Amino acid sequence: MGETCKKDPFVVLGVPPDAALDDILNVYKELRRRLNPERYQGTCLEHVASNRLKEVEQCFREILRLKKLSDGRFRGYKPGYYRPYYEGYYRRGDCCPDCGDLCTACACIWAVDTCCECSGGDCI
Amino acid sequence: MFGYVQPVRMELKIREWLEFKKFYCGVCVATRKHSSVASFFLSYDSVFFAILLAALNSGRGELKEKRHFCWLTMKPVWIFAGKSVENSSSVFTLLLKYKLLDDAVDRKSLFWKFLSGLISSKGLETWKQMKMTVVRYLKMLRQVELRNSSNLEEAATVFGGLTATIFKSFASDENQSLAMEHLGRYLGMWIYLLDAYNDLDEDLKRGSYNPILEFYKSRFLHKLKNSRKIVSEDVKQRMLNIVREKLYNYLDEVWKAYDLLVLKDFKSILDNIIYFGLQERTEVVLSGKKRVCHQK
Repeated sequence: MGETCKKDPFVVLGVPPDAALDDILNVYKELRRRLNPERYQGTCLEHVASNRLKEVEQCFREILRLKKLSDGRFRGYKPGYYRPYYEGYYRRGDCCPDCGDLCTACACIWAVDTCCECSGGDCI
Repeated sequence: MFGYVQPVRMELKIREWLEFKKFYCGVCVATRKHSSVASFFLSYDSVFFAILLAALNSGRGELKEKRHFCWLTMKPVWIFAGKSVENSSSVFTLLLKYKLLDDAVDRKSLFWKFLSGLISSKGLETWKQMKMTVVRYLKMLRQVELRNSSNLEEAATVFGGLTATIFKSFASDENQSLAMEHLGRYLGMWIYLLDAYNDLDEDLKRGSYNPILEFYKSRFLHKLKNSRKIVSEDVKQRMLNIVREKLYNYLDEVWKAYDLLVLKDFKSILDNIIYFGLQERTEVVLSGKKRVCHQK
């Protein structure tokens, strides 16, 4: 992964920490376009621009890493799963390894709190 | 002093416009501490500088929002107060003092000297560091003017050097220092040349030094064998494309330097000023209009 960003990566990219990944990607692309080494070739800012570009790339990688990390926040409902979806956090694998979506469907049909965790049950 | 560095109001959000006004009033209040005369000369350039310094330092964090009663408009206003606003007003007051002294010599008028005397240097932190620099550059500028230099860029380069030194002195690290120096230099050159084009009629009437006029004389007038009287319309027509090319070259360098700055806050206002405001002002001055149509 190389060097890590020393400054606050969100400040370097000029995006708020809660910005959507798509917005961050757009800002990153725009910054890369503006800091294109060809634009600064032959000027006294050439060295500064290359440093800034490196910094932007490092910070973008850092933001991606931070965004992928689990922060335990509720991220809505995953399609096909009738329980809150917490990115990167599962109590028992991706879903119930034994019954899969069958328990979810049962829970939906009978509106019961089953013993299976994937349908929201908490009795185990 | 010039007021060319200003935002395009129609492109600002209401929130951004209100923040800009808070900066404007903040700089005005800070300037009044040095001299109430100075606040009458307040320009948008110093407001831009205050926003830039705030954005580079710690953004909104270091600024305090205060309520203040404005005696000019007789209304209560919100102002931003903080280190960046203070620094900007100090630099503005310093430049104004020496500009007025320079004008006093130019116009041979005691009135301007009296006005410059009203501006006190008390409490100006940056005064001591900057004073020598400002005096040195203004002396150099005066020499270029006395020589009637026909080089279009010579006087602008000296003025750019002055603004570059001022911008550089507020940078916090090496990379920022280089970017700020570049930004200050080309912004200063842009301001000087644009002001020269704007003041063409006035300078022609008064017989003052104007680099565009001198360039025109050296380039075009000898062909006409000095038989014709200089007409400002002719000067503008012949010089328009040359000046436009130079101005946009300067702006390109300003944009390059600005893109390298890491701004913590007020990015949208600064983007508006740098990308839209400077370009709009260039076109307004070159076209000879007083203002753009959407500001009617």
